[in-house]
Amino acid sequence: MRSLRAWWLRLLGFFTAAARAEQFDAELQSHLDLHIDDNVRRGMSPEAARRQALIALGGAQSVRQAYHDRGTLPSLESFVQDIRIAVRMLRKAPGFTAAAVLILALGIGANSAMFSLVNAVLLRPLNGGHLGGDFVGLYSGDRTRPDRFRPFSYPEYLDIKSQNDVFNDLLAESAARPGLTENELTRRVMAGLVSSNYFSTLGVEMSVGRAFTTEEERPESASAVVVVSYPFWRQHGFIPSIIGQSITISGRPFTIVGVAPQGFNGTMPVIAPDLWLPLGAASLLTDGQNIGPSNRVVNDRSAQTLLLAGTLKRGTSAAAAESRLAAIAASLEAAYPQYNGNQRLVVHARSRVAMGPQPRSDAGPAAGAAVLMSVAGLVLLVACLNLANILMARGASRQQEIAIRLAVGGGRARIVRQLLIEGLLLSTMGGLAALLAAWWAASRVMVALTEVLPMRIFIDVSPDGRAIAAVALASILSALVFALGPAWRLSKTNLSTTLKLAAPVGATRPRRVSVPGVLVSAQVALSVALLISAGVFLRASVMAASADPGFPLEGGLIAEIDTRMAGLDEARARATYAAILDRLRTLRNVDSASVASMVPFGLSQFGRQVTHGGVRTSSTFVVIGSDYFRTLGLRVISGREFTTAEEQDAAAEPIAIIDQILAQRLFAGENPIGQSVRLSARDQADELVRIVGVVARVRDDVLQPPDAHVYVPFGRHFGGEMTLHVKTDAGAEATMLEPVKAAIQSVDSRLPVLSLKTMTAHRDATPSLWGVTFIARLFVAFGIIAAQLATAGVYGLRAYLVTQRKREIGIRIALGATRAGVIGQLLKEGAWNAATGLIAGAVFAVGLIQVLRQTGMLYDVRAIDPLVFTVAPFMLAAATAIASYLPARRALRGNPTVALRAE
Amino acid sequence: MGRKPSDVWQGTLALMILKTLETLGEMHGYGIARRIEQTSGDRLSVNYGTLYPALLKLEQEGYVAGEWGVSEANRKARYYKLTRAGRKRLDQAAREWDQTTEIVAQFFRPGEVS
Repeated sequence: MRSLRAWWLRLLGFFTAAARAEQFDAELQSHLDLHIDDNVRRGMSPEAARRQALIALGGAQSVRQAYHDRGTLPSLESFVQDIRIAVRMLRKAPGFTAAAVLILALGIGANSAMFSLVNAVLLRPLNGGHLGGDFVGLYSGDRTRPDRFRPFSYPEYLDIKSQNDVFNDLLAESAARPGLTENELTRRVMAGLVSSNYFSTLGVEMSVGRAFTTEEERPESASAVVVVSYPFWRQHGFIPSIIGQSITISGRPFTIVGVAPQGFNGTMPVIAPDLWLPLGAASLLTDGQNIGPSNRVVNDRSAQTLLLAGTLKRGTSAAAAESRLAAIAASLEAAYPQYNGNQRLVVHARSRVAMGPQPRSDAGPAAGAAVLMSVAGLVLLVACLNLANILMARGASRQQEIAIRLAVGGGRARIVRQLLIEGLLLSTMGGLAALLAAWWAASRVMVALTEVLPMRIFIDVSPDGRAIAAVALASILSALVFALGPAWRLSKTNLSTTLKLAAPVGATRPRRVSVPGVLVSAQVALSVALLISAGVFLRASVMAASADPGFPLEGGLIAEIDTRMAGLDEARARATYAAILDRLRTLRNVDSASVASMVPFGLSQFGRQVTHGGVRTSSTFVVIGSDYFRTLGLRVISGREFTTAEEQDAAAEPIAIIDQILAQRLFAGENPIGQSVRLSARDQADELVRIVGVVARVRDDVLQPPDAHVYVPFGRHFGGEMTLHVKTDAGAEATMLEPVKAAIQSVDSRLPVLSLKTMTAHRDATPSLWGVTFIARLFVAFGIIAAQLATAGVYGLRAYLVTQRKREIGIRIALGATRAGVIGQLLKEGAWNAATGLIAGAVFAVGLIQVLRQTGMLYDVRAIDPLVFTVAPFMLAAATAIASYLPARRALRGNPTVALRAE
Repeated sequence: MGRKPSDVWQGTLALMILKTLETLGEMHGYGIARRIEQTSGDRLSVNYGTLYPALLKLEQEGYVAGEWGVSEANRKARYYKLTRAGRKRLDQAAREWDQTTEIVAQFFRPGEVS
């Protein structure tokens, strides 16, 4: 305690040294005066008294020094002194300093930007995490099928909530995407459907207003109340009167009862909801749709739609909680064998990237992040090797300074420390620049990402403590990598030879394997590996962009609408769709129009199990109108399309159209037309349908091969959220955007057009294409940075070696060697470094690509793509050849006799 | 014995300063040194190069507090006095010292060790 206080005061004392010295001088003076007084009192003459007192005091200067050392921390002082020297050295060489900081900013910046993204998605604490980090999800598994999980029903939630003794509290949630109407405009928003204890379980207090009541949670209550997000309140100018105001959600008036606190983004991964609605409001948002999983919340054990989560009681581990919950599962199973048979309650940390009924670890994304981080690490490694070489070359010119310091008694440790501090100073400046550059770059990426995602996300890439610590760590590590080696070698200077000013002729004969040479080869190797990876990703992105979707994009146009947002029930919605399709089909330049529940390359997909004669397979499930395949441009191989009657009649015969893939899987060569298959899905009644047609395969994801599809008519399968497909005359699609919108809104002006774009624009904005293009750009950027550094490294090394050998070159020329011969010789030496680097890099790249395959983005790309493996090394070989040639040519340009006479 | 007055050992000097201040109340550096020398019957000589850093250390540790004042002879001087923590430290140190000397003395008392 006491020594800590003293240490702290000494640390502060560092800043008050001058004032303290002055005071101590006064104290010493008074000491002297008192002593003289004493001596005089004893009878000495003033003269003698003074002399005696001075003798007794001893060397005043050493007393002052001892006092000064105690007043502050001597090691801190010499550290500050080293920094001052370092600053002076760097200021004396502004060109070098700027180059070094730039190199480091690029290297560290690449890492810092990657880390900002990884940090934002995987490392920042989750909502609810502030409650002690034991915020977990509760999942319902099946004892007999370990990979099978399902959501909970509302009565089940109540049972588990009241019977368990392991959670502090247990919340239930689901999600909805209702329409929010403001100023005549309706937009789709993200809403959390939550239990009444949702906010209290998360330890969140409302900014204003209140959370939901238990009555509002009751499924039959039809509660039209809403809690809005803090950003929503901000958009409305923070008016206090917001509580009690009415807003229109999906065509119905809802009353605002509360505002969530600032920074609260709910419990969905990455997505930030705009609103929260009580479970009792769910019945107001759903229509009779039977396409995807519904978000029905009813007091019925068959409606399993809720996800549960809560904080475990202090001291309760997940395993302990699970064993306690097993008893509840057993009693539920006994009471409701139909719904809770074989139930297993699983406690698992919530995923940061996915939301669903099954527990997921984030190991996959974490591994992907680790791969990208290591690739960024390679860029930093190239930067450090590069800088190490520059420092070695610079060190050659500083060798005399260092030799003098050693000669006058400077310790080797102190010199190494001095050089390390110079390195740290450089890497700190580089790190600061990197932090800002990375923040900017990562924000740009986020902006770009929000453009392809149709919802508000909260990936916060601003630097937090963790990001700053990561940059600090990268700076310190890189300083160690690039500064320690050169410092060690330089401080090993041989005094006697270095102090004699110039090295003797022949002493600098280059060795084939020198430290700088190996450093340069390593840079070339790493950068060619990065360039090859970049090339592979570029190929992948080009292939993804040109992947045949199975239908032509030209003339295609899609408009997304959702009749629920205008508050339409099923009957009115059907009439609206029929009217819109009628209107669209009569537009000029429009060849045909139809409607479908999903779009190829879209974000949402629904599936069904399809069974026929003992074969069971899963398939994408699409609800379509008549003329759909003609509109999309997908070939009908046999049979027919749906008719307008089938598009509209809910009571028509159950029929379906399947694609070639499904036909192959279920019928293997047999004619499927006229056969029946069973469609089943959790949460939906089974349906036996007769097949009336077979169509060509279609691709839903540019990074994956086409998969099985089953198409059913809109008549029997209603959904409010549909996409209108329009086929215009070739080339006219862009001009038809406005007329299509006008046609839709002429039918119902309240109906929002959620998105309207050409098929080509839609394909270009698909997230997986965006992802692979983004990674390709990232790698190209990394590869170019690394290649430029490596080329500069080759240039620097060759220039240095050639300068050192000016005299040798002069002698050769004087003895009759041709210029071409000398240049050839010099190039050959440089080529050796480059060639070893290129070969090592290509081998490394093969391994690297195997690792990068884990990202799942290299679909369809060969491991060793001949084009990429030729072009990338060739580019770097050409660059290094130029980098070797320029210094050689310059060395020969001068008059050889000048070089010979230099000494 | 023919030996020069010995320098005060490190560590015990701090203790002597505290004890001196306890006896004298407020005192300046010069006075403290003189007092220690007198108390030892001039067998100790205080080196000022260690006295002032020792005082600074005690001040940093919070055992003494220094303040400028005026001596009887109207000289400006920096006066040190014990703080409450210093007094506690002195008590504790005195106890430890008694204990240590007793133990060491045991070793030099003939015939009493085992």
